Amino acid sequence: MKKLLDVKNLYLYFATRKGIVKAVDNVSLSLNKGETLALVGESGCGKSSLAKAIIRLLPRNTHTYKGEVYLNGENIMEYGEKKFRKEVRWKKISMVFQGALNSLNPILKVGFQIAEPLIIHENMSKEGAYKRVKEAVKLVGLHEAFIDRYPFELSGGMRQRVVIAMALVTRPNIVILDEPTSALDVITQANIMNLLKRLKAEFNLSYIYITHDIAVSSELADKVAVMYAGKIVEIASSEIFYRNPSHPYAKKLMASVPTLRSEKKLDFIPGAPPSLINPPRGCRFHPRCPNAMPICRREEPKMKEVEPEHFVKCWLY
Amino acid sequence: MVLLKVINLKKWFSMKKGIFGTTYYLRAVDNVSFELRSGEAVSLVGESGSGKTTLGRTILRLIEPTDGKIIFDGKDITHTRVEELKWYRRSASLIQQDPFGSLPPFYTIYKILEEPLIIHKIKDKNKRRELIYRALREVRLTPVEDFAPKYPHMISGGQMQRVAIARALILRPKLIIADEPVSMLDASVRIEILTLLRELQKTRGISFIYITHDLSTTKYFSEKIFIMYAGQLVEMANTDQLIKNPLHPYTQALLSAIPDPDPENRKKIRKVPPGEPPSLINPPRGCRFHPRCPNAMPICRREEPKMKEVEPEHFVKCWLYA
Amino acid sequence: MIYLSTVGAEYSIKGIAKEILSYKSGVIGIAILLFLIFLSIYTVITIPYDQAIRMWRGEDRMWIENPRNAVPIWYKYIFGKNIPENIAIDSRDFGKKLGIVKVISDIPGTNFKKLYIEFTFTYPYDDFPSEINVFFFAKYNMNAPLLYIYWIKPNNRKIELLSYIVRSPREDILYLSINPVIGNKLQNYIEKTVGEESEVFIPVEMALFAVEDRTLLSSLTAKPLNGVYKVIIEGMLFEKDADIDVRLVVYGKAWGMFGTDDLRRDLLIPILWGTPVAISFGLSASLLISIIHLIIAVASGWYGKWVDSLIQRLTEIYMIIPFLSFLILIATFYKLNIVIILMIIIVLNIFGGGIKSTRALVMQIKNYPYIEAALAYGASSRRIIFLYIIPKILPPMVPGLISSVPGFVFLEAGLSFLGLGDPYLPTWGKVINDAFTGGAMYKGYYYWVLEPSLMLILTALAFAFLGFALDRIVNPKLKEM
Repeated sequence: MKKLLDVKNLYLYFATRKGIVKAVDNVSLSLNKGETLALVGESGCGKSSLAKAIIRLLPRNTHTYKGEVYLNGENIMEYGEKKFRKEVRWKKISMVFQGALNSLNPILKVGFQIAEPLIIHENMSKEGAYKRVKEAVKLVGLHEAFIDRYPFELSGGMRQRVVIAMALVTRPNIVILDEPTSALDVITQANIMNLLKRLKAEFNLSYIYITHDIAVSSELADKVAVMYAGKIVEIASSEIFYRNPSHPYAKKLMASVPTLRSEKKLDFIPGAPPSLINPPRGCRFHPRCPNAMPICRREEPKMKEVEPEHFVKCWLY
Repeated sequence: MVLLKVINLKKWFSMKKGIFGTTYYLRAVDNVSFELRSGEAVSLVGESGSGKTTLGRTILRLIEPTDGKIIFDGKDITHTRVEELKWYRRSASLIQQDPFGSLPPFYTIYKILEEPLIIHKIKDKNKRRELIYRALREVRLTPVEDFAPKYPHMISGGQMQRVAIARALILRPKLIIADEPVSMLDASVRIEILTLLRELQKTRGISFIYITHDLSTTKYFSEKIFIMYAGQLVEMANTDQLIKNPLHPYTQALLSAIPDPDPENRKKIRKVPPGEPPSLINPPRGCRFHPRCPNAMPICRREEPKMKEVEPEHFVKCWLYA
Repeated sequence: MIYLSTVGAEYSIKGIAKEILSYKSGVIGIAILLFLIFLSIYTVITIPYDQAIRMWRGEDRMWIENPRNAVPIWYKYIFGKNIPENIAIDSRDFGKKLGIVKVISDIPGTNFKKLYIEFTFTYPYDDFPSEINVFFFAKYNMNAPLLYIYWIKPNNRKIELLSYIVRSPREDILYLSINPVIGNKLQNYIEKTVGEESEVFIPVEMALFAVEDRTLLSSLTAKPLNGVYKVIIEGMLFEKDADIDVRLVVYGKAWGMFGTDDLRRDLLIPILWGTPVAISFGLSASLLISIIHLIIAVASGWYGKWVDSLIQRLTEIYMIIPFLSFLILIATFYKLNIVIILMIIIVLNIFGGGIKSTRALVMQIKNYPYIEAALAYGASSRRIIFLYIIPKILPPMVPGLISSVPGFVFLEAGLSFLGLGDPYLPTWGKVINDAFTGGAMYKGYYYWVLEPSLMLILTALAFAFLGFALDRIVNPKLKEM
């Protein structure tokens, strides 16, 4: 099966007054059609930056941006900005941002905001765009009439649905979702996840679901990639990851997730995630790793395929 | 021994539309009653907009109640003037959600911890230093001499929250209300902080109200759970009881909505009620959950059910059990 | 140590200084400001206040030896012309300096004495003097000495200027250049020598120093005759103990670092003294107003409700008041000194617009978690205001404070310029006022206007640059990543 998205050796560094932030440091991952990849990690590990790197929404102080990103076999990193904007961003890959439900334009009607990507990217006429908007709105479980409402008239859950509609309206292949439910209450969150599940099944969508909440990620994930300090340390199928991950960090992460239904002794990871400006030498996790060996302090391990489609970046393997 | 008694507590915020318009009431806390014993830890679980934060603030008398009674340690503090509540500020303290915001950025950790001591008239400088170092040690911010002169922006979020905890403990209060103390911290740090809180709570015998929306952490922390919906308590029970045998349909919905990390999750659609929590300005008549309740009956739309003890120590406010 | 805080970062004074210097605008601002402060301190030490006021009032003919409207000395280097400077010869220096001869000889058989004073000097300049005065210091009881004054040019022509009876003992001044007798005499002399009638009246100082040919007939073409000049004063003293000393001053056209004004006052004084006045006025106005604004804004933001509403309405009314008009009105009817001007400006600014932004900040901070936390552990309102809110709102106020200083400096200068300021204080505005009433722009005395203006601009620049840099530091959104 041809890969839908193949990211190879992607780098994204920012220049700040305090130094160069290595937010995305040689990341490689892939996504098949209809598959959901969950990208999990603590805050500050670079996962949001990775999303922005893929969709090329770079800040002003970008220092390094290189690598290969193959979408349907074509390297979109080679596209100029204009081509990227026209053909990739929001056309093939769209994104739901963190806190998006609070970043809707308060003075524009919701319908107009959903229509915007169509009018901008596809040069659609107003009628054509609004037809698609109504479709999208219904898809996300809202009544058509909502397109004439303003964001403040909607609840949090409804706004999140609007933002999802915005991401879907151009019928992309891949939707990147960055913490789409973190501001919502539990029941609304479950409803949104149900919605995402349905959309995935109906349209064979591929998601990249970014979150720090491991339990919620299991609602969608077919594959899980764990990010730590700008690097991906493990990629595994959800069956393997949620039950028995390999990387010590992944293990500790899973052990720190409280469960409602099972009796589990909780574990926590001592210390704090490292700064992305001056990460530790060798393996970045070694200062907090219970299995650290001398080589971990010296050399960075390489990503190894320990099983088919199961990659781990650790000297233990 | 009952430390805190809350009886029919109400907090209604009045909001006026225009100068001559009608007055609306936002019923953040609407007839809440419960008892809290010495040394007992309770989780107050509710979604955002359920009124749990207002309830916490009202109990601490940072807000004045509209109606009802709050009796702390035998004293009725419902309508006491703020100036006369200084003793209460010492006996009941607050841990807030935002570690970054709860510490004044222009004071060292030492000064931050010194403030409550100065305010409560601990005049001896050496005594204060002793108490501050002791507090830092209790929250495991050691070596204390390293941390004391630091500023908040020099330490991590988890460490900041420990300072907030130290500040809440330093005067040896009888009651601590912790409002979502870990929701702004990284997942891996949450457990650490909650474990610390639980330890401190147990060893010092402090009564705790742990306000949260995350049910899955409650069982690691408290003996009892109170479920709050739309300004009211709908179920109160021991933690294990509640999780094993939730009675109120809302509690059941909450429990079914929370995922455990399980790869099978993605293959199923979760059974959850649709809709959102109601507005507190115009809550539904009768039982407030009835619009979303799968078991709604005619009486639920008409009359509000009363809280009933269905099993020992297990209270529900639902017509299914009347 | 004062710790200012900005969004979680703390700075000590040293840290702030380093930050400021990391911006080019900060470096420039601080550099100029340090220069101005140094200038102020130097001025206050070397010319104490009372002395400065006295000198500026010009009592006791203090300035009499300065030329009027003289340009600064350094004009000579810029324009290359050898602009004349003062030449003063005093008979009291006889024996100590060259070129002076003084002989008093008794006339036998009488109480009378004969007097002979001779002055010799070189005139090397490219332009004529502005004025020539002779000062007489006579000692006598009843009978004043009688003197004859002669002028000898380098071409050895001797001209008798006039005969003169000293008018008063102690000091008497003969204003040679405006003396009509001498003027007429010289006019005749020149017309005779050159052989032509002149259409205009030739000024005395020109006649006495010019090349004697047709060029003399017009002031455009007249050239000074460089060379050795002699002035002879002969006369009689009529008392036994009588004595007289003479001082000749040939006034140049250039004087001092900053030139002089029409009252002969050295402009060094107001230029130098303007500095501490401007800076202290601007800073005190800005500081006091900022403090008042702070208090009002905090009260308004913290206590809310009717206090807030009242203060807000007052502020809005104040913002509409035409402030300068009021100021001019008051200044027209009342005599003002600089301290009263300061007070009035403060009163007219009490409920200024700055309150609104500070109040907004206070209301924002009021909702911060750490304020709630403070309430929870029992802090009183007063404690919270002074120890929690004010430290947080001070840093954002500092750039505004600094940036508004030039405004007040210009205000004071403007008032002085309109003639409504403190009349006795030597300030830059006063100099500009004097310059305009003295017709500086008409007569080409540009330095008179430019010098104070440049100082004003410099001061404004210093504070503006500094405020700019501070604004970038304090406002994190403007910070470069």
